[in-house]
Formats: sequence, C-alpha cells, structure tokens
Amino acid sequence: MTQPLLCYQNVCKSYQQRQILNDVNLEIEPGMVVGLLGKNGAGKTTLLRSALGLLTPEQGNVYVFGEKSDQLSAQSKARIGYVAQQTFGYEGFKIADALALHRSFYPDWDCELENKWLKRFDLDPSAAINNLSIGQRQTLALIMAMAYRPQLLILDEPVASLDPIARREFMGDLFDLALDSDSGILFSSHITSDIERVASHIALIKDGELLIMDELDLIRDTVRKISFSDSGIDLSAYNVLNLQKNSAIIYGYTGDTIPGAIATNTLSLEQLFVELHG
Amino acid sequence: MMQVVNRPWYQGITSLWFKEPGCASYFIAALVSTLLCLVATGMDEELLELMILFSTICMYSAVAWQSVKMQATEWQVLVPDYCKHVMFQGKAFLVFNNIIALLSITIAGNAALLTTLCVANLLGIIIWFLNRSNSRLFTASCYIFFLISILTSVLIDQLPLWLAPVSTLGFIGIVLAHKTFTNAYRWHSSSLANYRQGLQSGWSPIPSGFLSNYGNAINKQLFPLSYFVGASLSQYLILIALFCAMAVAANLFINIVEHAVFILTLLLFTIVTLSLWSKIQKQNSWELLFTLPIYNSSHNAKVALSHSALKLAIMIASLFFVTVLALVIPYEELFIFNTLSYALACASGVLVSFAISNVCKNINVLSVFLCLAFGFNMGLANYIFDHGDSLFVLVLISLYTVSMAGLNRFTVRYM
Repeated sequence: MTQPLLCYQNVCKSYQQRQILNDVNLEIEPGMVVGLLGKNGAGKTTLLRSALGLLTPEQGNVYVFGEKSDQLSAQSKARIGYVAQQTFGYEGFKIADALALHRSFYPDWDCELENKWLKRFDLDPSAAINNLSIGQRQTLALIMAMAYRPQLLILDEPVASLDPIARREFMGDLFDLALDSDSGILFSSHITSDIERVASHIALIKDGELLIMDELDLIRDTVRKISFSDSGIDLSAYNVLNLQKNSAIIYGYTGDTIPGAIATNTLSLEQLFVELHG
Repeated sequence: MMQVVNRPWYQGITSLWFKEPGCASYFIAALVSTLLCLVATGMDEELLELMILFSTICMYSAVAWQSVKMQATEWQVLVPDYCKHVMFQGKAFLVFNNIIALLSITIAGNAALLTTLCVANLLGIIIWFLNRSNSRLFTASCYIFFLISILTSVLIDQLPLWLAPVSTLGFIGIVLAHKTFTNAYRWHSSSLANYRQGLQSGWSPIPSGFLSNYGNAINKQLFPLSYFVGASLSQYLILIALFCAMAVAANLFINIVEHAVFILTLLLFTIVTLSLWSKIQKQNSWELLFTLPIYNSSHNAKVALSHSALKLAIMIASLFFVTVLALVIPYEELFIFNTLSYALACASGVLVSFAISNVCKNINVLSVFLCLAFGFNMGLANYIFDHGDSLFVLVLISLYTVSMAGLNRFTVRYM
C-alpha cells in the first residue's frame, strides 16, 4: 500500500467562533489530480493552508509525506510546490532575478521547463514583477512552484486570472506533470470546466464539510437529481447531498428505479455545484 | 537539467533591499545616514550622535520591514533557507552599520558616543524582534523609537555612561531569550494586509479615524491634493497645529525656542516626505479623478493640484510664522526677519518636495530625491532661522520661494 502524499485526518478548524473546517478526511496519492470545489468562504483556502503547516488544526492531523504538516522537515518542504491565491513575495525583482534566486534554493530545478513556460506564456525575463498584470504574476508563481517538479503540488485558485488559452495550456501541463512525475496535485478552483478537464478526483466542500471526495467519472455516473411530488420518498439507500421540497441530489445511484421518483437526471459538475448551493 | 546550487550570500540583494519601496525607504535612509556618520566626525558632536542613532534605528527598521514581508509571504515557509538568506543579508548590513559607527566614534575620539551606539542597538533590536512576529506593530514601534532617539539626541547633551552596559545586557538578553517568547517569521493571515496598508499609508502613525470630523473642511480646501494624500493630510496639519500650541505653551515656562523650531521643522518635512511618498503608492489614479464631474481636462486637474500644493505651503508659512513669533516674543527677542525668512524657507521646502514628486514617477528615484530634499530643506530652514537676520536674506528667500512656487506649477505638467 502506497503512503499518501497528503492525508487529512478528522481535521477541524474554527476562526472567530466560526467553524471553517469540520471533520475533514482526505487523502492524496501519487498520480491523483484533485480538484477542490466550493463556494467563497467554504474553507478551501484554509484546507490548503493546513497542508503547509501555515495553519494548525484544532482537532485532527494533517500529514504530508508521513510528517505532521506543522513539523515538516526541509527535505519534505523541498518536495512541495505551492501557489497562493494572492501571488506575493518578489516585489522589486525582475522576472529573471526572481527566478535566479528562487532556482538557487532547489537543486532539482528544471531550467528547460522554466524556459519553455516563460516562452509559452510570453513572459519577458527582463520585465519588472511590479509591472506585471495579475495573470502574469500568477503564471510566474506557477512556474516557480512547478519547475522543480514537486511531488505534491498545492494550488489555490491557480488559474483564476489567466486567459482561457493560457488556462487550457496550463491545465494540460498540470496533468502531464502529475503523470510524468507521479506527483499528487490538489487545486482549488471555481471554474468547473477546468476541473472537469484535468481532475482525476473531485473534492466538494460546503460550509467546511467535505461532501464528496471521489473519482470524477464515478461522481458523473452516480450523482443524480431526483424529482418527486411525495416528500415521503425513500432515499435511504443513497447518500443524500441535498434535500429540497420536491427534489434531492443523491450520490451512489446504481441505475435502479427509485419508487416515487418523477424524474432522475444526470448533472454536470457545474449543475451539481449550483444545485448543492441553491 | 540538474544543477548544483551555489548561491552567493548577496544574491538578490539589490532587488530585496533597494528596489522594494517599503524596505528601500528605510534602507536607503539608513545607508546614507551611516555614511554621513563619517562626514559628521569633522563637524558637530551632536550631529554625529543624531546620525548614529538615526542610521542604526533606520537599518533595524529596514530589517524589521523584511520580517513583516516574510510574514506576509505564504510560500516562504516552504522554500528551504529563503528566510535565512534574506535575514543573513540584513545582519550583514547591521554589522556594516555598526562598523562605520564605531569607526566614526574612533575618528571623533569621543568614547562616550559608544553609549549612544549601544542604546541605538537596543532600540533597534526591540523594533526588529517585535516585528518578527507582530507585523501590525511595525509603524507604531518605528515611530515610538524614532521619537525616543530624536528626543534623546535633542534634549540630552550626553547619555549617562551606565546606559552602555545596561543596553548591551538588554541586547544580549533579547537575543538569547527571544525564542522563548516569539515564533519568528511565521505567516499570519493579517500580515499581507498590514504590509499593504503600511506601504500605502506612508507609515502614518495616525489612526485612520483620528480627528476626522475636524479635517473635512481642510481636505475640501486642499482638494485634489487631499484626494491623493488621503485623509491623513488634514490629520497631519492638525497634529502640527497641536504641536505648535503645545510648544508655545511649554515655552512660557522654559525656553525651548531652538528645540521647538528644530522639532517643528523635522515634523513638517517628515510629514511632507511621507505624504508624497505615500501619494505615489496610492491606487487612486488620475483616471479616476478625471471621471469625476469636476475638471474639463487633465491639464485643469493638474493645475488645480499645483494650486492646492501652493495653498498648503501658504498655510504652513502662516502657521509657522505665528508660532515662531509666539515662541520668541516672551523672551523679548523679536526676530522678525528670522521668523519671516524661516516661515518662507519651510514653505519653499514644501514646494520643492512637491516639484520633485511631480517629476519622479519611479518610486526608487522619488525616495532618493525626497531624502536629499529632506536633508536640504531641514538644513536650509534651520540655517535661515539662526542666520537670516537681515532684509537681504529675507529678499533672497522670498525670491527662492516664488521660484519654487513657479517650479511646482511648471513641473505639474509632467505628472
């Protein structure tokens, strides 16, 4: 059995008397690309920051490469790539200088990959970082996080500010990286089409609780919206994600006929997201 | 593909310390004043004392600023040795500062100044270590310790010798015990907000709501200058007026004319420098100003800005004239020429600084020129107060002030 790259065990975290994470259990193994989906304030960023030891959970544990996330060794840290929601840290630098300094901390830095991405995303190494657009800064942050081929990549809405072409290309690279290096990737995003394009797994978080964590294909196959007129319908055989007066979102549908159901509809990831938060 | 890491200690030094505005504003001032320590050895002993205090605390503040930035950078915790690399550079600068200060003390041949250096190091390390784990304390701690150092330098001729061992022991104690109390450079969710707020407020020590009810009328009068500088413009002016009133009141009991004039001048040019420096940091852009239904063209808006700067200079000149007059009258020393010339020198200093900010668009260039202007304006205003006792000087300074008003009006087109 392979050791998970990242493991959340019963993680709870609150902030100013508000529960941000509630009993979260999640494992990322090599080769997994996990798309973390949730509304603003659902707890995505807190979940990601807990993996880096930036935040310590009040209950439960987070392990990265088998070590507790708030006591990571330097070797383990060097195997993690991270892009924060707000790219910050190399103000005053030119791109080339920032990359030179950042590169110097990583013996395994892939210069070819760096140059390839600089060219692909049209970043001029002589440009000052202060003058870059938000999207360009995000691209640079991604290069810095990925060019040493980390084994665990944690990305907090990494492509939110990129244009559709750059987003598509970057997402393709992300997937290739996971395949080539046998890395594990956990990334949050609001853009469901991006998640559907590259993620092997989906983690859906709502109000700090992990509602679903499974393979994307399995979610597509087993999540259904059930419409009914009788509120006494028996859905106990399924995992009910959301129950309304005349409809419910169920998880674990096996294709059987559900007595009392008027309609059983499949849902795209976006529809699922909207229905769950509706 | 693979490469061996061979990183010199100075890698990234220019970008980290000179090109990042928050750090550069303290670091450049620290470097310049450190070098001025050597110059001051051949001049006034009090000046050397002030330079040692100022340069050392400024250098620690620059290092403390890097600590604030470190706490705001989420990824730094994952990059092995990044923090160590940056802080090593900071320590190297602190050593450099201390070596130059020691050299200056040796050249000046005044061992008593060692006490000043020890006290400066103690104050500095308190600033740095407070900010290693509490980014929100940066502004307050810097201002408190700068104020302490300036007051020490101005009000006390010679620090008592016993302070040297006490400061050294305090310094060693803090270095040895800090790990017990603090978790240094750890990321905190509010640190980035503190960093940005600090960068944009020009390190204003004034709380955002301070005297806001009284400032609206002033801000209205000084629009569009107040649009760029923010509400702090009126707060600063009220603060200066309060200081003037306090100085006049205190002067009735003890003669503090020279000290009050020096601190008043220092306060004025510090505030002007900070306001202009923060103006360039503001997100408020010309584009937004043009969208308001006030000005017909960008030219009109720029002219209005130069007029509001002139209004500010006139307000300063009037306030300072009345204050200094009130300061000297109780001692029956009615230096009308000195007082008028001094008030005009202060007004011209304000206009020079505004002209510089009109021309300089780059934050680093602006910082350098504002520092130079600060030194020049301080020197000129204090010199004029001491020596401007003739009509000839008054005429000269009047002409200079008029030309600076013209320069400010002319350069506004380059904004």
